[in-house]
Amino acid sequence: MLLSSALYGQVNFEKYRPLRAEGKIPAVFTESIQDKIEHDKSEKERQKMDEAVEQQFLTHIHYNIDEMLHSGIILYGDATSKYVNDVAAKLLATNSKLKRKLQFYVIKSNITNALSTDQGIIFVTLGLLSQIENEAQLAYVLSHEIAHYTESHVEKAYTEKFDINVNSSYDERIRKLSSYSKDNELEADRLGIDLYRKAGYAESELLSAFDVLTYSYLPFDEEPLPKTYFNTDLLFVPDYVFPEEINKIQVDEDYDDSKSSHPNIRKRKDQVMDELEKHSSWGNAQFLLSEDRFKDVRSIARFESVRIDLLDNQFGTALYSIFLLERDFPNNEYLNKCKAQAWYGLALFKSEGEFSRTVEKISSVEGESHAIHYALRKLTKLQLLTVAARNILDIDMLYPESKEMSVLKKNMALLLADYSKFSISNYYDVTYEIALEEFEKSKIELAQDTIIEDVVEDDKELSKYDKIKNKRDDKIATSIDEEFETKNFHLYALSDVVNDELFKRSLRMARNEIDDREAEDLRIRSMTRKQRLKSDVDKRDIKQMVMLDPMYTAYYYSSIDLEKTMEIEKNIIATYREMSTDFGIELFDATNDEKSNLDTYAYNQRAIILDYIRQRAEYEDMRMFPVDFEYLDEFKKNYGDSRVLLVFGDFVKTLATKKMTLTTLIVNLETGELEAFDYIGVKRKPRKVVLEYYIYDFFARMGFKR
Amino acid sequence: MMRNVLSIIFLVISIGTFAQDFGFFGKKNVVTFHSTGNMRVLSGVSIPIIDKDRNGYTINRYTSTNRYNESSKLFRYDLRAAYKRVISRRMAIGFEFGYEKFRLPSIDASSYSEYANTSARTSAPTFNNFSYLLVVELFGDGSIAPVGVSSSFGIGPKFYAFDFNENYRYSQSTEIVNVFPEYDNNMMSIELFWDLTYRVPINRVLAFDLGLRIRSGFLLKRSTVSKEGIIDGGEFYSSSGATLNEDNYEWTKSNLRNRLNTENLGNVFNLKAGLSFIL
Repeated sequence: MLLSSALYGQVNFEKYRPLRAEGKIPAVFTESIQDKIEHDKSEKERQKMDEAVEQQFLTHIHYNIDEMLHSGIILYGDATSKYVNDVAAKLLATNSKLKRKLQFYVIKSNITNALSTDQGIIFVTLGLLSQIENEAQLAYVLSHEIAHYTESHVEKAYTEKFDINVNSSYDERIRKLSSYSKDNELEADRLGIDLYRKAGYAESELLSAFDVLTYSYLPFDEEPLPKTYFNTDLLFVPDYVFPEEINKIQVDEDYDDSKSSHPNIRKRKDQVMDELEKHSSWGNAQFLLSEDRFKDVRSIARFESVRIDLLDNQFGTALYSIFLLERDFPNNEYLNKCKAQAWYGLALFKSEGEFSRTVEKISSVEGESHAIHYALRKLTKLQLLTVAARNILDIDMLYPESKEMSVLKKNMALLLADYSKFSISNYYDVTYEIALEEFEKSKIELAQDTIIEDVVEDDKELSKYDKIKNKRDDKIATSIDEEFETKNFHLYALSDVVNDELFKRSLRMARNEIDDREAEDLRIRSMTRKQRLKSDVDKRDIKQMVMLDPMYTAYYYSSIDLEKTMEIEKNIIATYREMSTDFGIELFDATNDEKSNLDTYAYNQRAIILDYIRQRAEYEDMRMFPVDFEYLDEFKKNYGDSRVLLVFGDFVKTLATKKMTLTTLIVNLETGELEAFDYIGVKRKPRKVVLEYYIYDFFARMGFKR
Repeated sequence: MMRNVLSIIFLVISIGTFAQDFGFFGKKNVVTFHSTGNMRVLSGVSIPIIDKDRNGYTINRYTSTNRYNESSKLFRYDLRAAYKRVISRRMAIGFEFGYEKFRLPSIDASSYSEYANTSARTSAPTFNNFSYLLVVELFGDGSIAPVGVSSSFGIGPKFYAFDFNENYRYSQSTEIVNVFPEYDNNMMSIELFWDLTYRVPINRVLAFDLGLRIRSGFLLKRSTVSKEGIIDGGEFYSSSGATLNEDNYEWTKSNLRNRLNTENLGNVFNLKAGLSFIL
């Protein structure tokens, strides 16, 4: 027992920190796309493709995969990637040639998917790892993907119509890249069985892998949310905010798949069952590696799913996942802090009128998580803000040293102070429980008093002093039949801080900050345009910047011109390097070219920044709390007061036109604000000198001096 | 994904144009050498490439060794130099100097039937035209002065200085002795232009200019050319048997004015090409 728990504790969840890539950066992340294409051409013969189509195909595939590799959403060398690699090694134990050709990585995405690429890279999402029940299920998914590779399904799926918009989301791209024809899917299902069986996994787990897919749209577990879930010593939320019944799960395995790329699950299962009958010798392993390791990896994936939900502003879903994880990991610091962030997010989105984007539509949620979405939607704004504040205060008390919590607390105070209906003086200094007790007590007293009064009335009239005394006694209950009012439950939720001078001060300071900000807004609004621009220039005080890879794409008509893309990106990087030297700005290079020698450290930093920008991008004006607060704090320690420089754009050439765009952003990681934005859209070719003078001009307009 | 979201969302904020450090890499002086020119189209007459007779396009001249030289003047061009100073992100001002060696083609023989059989080969009057213009150049939205797409306006005097150094002759054997006896003042016009230029940087110093210029103007000063004309053709024409009257002097005062007007002020559409040095 002791031994088992010791092994199980290989991952220290008590001090859990979000996953980062580890070890040496694999070559596939740093090699140039042209090199990869050349290598690919020499490795594999594609008989069905002529040279031009092959080039187009390789460009397309490599470009999309490279964008993912550089997006920071791919993990390598971490516990989950190592695990996936080890399971794959079991499958490929007898085929070392194939093993050498394949690479396995994990994608930080909550969708349940895996995908195989023509160049032998197989990706598995954290969403999949969080949903599976055992190693065998993962093994079958990997076998299926390996079969896609060995049968060159990507190549077969490639047609002129196979078009991935580079502007689509990564989740959308993962879906697209993992879509093959129905026949190819069925073939991979069938061929995957062989690898799976030979490795010694149990027959029984194979079909259950399809169940994982069927129910993958649900959270990673189904557990009823107790109606007392929100309640703590200081907080009581009445159960009427919860639904009486939850929405049922409605799954039809045999759905109409005529318009889908994948065959329906029923057909796939039927085919696999037919296939299983052909094989007689089966192993019986659910796990070839240790079960504890699997559980650790799955828990990591589940911990990560909370983080991804926070990044995607899916706070309702995040809270449900936290609830599920809390059963195995009670009082976990990481989960608690995520919870505080989720509540802050809910309060923020409620305050900004964007609440419906963070909590699922009640009618569309199936299963047990319905309850939490229902409850969150049922709370009024004041109730929600109060519950959020309560949670944040509680969690803050657990980690008094945490900078993250103190910033969250301050931000929460700003939200409270900014809400006109919130006034701390309206709140009671007793908890709901005590208030209820007193209420009941007073009801009993009232009943007794009534009896006494009846008796007294019979005997004598009340003296003046008895009357005064009776009036002074603050009787909570006013009549015996009265029930305790539950709708104002929130007014009891801040009982510990109602009279706390420190808390009141923080609210006053928050109010002052809001007033100052409003006054500043007014001041700026009253300025002339020129004054405003001058004040913007004066405010900017940038001495250090971190440059990420530019995201540039060159097209000839609608097809990607890879050579041009590479050339332009290279020129952009070179120009920024040069200009920042000219303008005396210290530039930290997190790009991926031959000069910067991207390493794992820079790769992780880049991933954190990109995630932060992804989190903020849609809600620029909102005071979003950075999910990776602690990592960003580390970033600041390393890069000082750096701003992040992001450049993206495209160039489209046709016979008649040439049009380039260049967008530059400078983001302040400390405040989360976008300090500069510049967009150029001109009918010009982005030659080096053209880029140079536009970038020079950008620096000049920023107010930098040479 | 990212770029799409970012470009939509962040469009609300943008850097202003307050900065003082404008210009091409901060450089504000532009020296341009360019030429403007066009294919001569004579109003209502002919287009040179199509018109095989080339009436109105022929230049008669004699070299210093009295060799007769006949050429077709299908195109006109001039040479120009300009200096401009960038004064804001969207504007440059400066001046431009233009020079053109300008020979007036012979009169269209068909419209002067009297000469039709004379085999007249009178020298074309030659002028040195000088223009001095003030120029304002405005740049478009995507451009940063002084490169990119710009639109310029210019105005200034243009002087037509008669070139007395040419070898003016009626024919190889007959010299015109008294050329423009009374042309003691330059004729002058006011030149106006508007042009559209695309200045493409080649490197940090040099840029290539390409554009279209619409140019016109009006003659300001009547010259003191005598009514009878600029050359005394009497002796020549009388010897060839033609009737002499005011109208059939080849270069009468009104003739000259008309031709100058047509040539200088009438051919409005010009192409422009040149090089700019940005210093």
